[in-house]
Amino acid sequence: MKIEFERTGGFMGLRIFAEIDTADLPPEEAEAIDKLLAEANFFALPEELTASTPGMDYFHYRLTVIPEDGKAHTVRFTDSAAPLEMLPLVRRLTRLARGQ
Amino acid sequence: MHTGPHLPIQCIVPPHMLQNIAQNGTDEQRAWALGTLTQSEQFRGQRLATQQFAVMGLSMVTGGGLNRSVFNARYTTELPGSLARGEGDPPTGDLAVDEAYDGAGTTYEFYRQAYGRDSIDGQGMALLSTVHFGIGYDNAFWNGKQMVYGDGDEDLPEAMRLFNRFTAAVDIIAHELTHGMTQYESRLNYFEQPGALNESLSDVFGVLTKQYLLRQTADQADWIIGAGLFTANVSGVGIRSLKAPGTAYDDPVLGKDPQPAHMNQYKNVSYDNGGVHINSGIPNHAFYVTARELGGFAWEKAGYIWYITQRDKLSAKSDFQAAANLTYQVAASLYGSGSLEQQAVRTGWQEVGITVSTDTEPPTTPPTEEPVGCRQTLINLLMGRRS
Repeated sequence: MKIEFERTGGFMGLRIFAEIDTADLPPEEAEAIDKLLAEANFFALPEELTASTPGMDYFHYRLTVIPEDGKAHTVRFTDSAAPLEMLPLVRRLTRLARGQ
Repeated sequence: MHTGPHLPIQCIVPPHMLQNIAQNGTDEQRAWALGTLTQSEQFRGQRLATQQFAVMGLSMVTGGGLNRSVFNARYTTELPGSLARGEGDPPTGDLAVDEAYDGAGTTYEFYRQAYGRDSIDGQGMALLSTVHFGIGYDNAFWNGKQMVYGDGDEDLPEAMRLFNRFTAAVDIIAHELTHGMTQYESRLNYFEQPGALNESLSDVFGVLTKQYLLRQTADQADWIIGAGLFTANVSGVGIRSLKAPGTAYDDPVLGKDPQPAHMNQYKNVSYDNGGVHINSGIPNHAFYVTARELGGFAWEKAGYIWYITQRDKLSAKSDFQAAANLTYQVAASLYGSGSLEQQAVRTGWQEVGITVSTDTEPPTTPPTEEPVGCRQTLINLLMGRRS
């Protein structure tokens, strides 16, 4: 499974990006990501989840997941518009993108 | 949001419908319809409206004066969360709650004392803040209605943390609150140059709030946004520097501060709404140079010129050149044509590669279509006319 994660904007304006092949990750890390994707019901989410109000300093995220069967799904979202179940997944990917 | 009735921030309910409500509704409906019109972010004639309200014997819903509420999201993304501290309540002992409360108060007092402004909308709008937002949330934002703060890297072991809580710096609080003010005044678009100006105004009044609190002159201040936000694991003094954009941090994990200090380094990027947090370094530095030239307390002259420009001159599509020309005009009207103050403004923009121009008068009033629709409707209402 391949994952592309990009976060832009925010108070700091720092762009972070990660391209992850779960085959390259330690098995427990790959399993954890699988589990978080399932908990967020990622493949059922709409492609666009943006806040209804015009905010400033929001993070803007783009997450693309390409499973082994090749059917890619991309979701773009902002902070307060994403479902609560996305939080742990976003945090995990942010840390991976920071090299942690 | 779960704070009572939804308040449209634009003239969403058609003016003719509001007119009907105001003329035929109950007293409550009538007050709501009028309140809706004045709370519209497209409505700029608020001082006029207040006077007219007084004439009609109606009181504004928002009252006036300092009115803070700090909410706790308890590590979720639900807004606003549960009330943790209201105006006049004693300290809670929760550092983030108390910092958000005190920082909003400091910012309110700064605008009130330095410029005579009563809160975000100039009419005592309540200051709403939420802390403990999200998990490991390295950010703060303004969502159109309130300020929101994350706790940084609270979920990581200390050795891995890069960010402290975002309420730790008073200039960040003032930055977010000023986004609210921009929404009510110049309404600068949040994209490319107007967006970078929007960001810059938040940084300028962010550092000025801190300088006012510490009673620092321009040469005593550090001109840093977000000092104290990084943990000791990061190589950097803060998020941005108005004195030397591009030098705030240089770190193996976070990279280097990408801000330009001059037009010849302007970054055309597609991300970050066209680099609004990047190119803001240019107008930020123009303000710093203006303040440095004038010396003394930066909020008194340079800050006042920028404040009046934000309040009365800038509009949604203003770019850097327009900001330069308008601050130059404002300096002349406040301090005189050819005054030291006006020369300092010219020097400020000159040092970032922008030459002020007085040849063409840029538009000094906002676009006149929809805002006038809202405004004219209100005036008609108050005058008892049918449109």
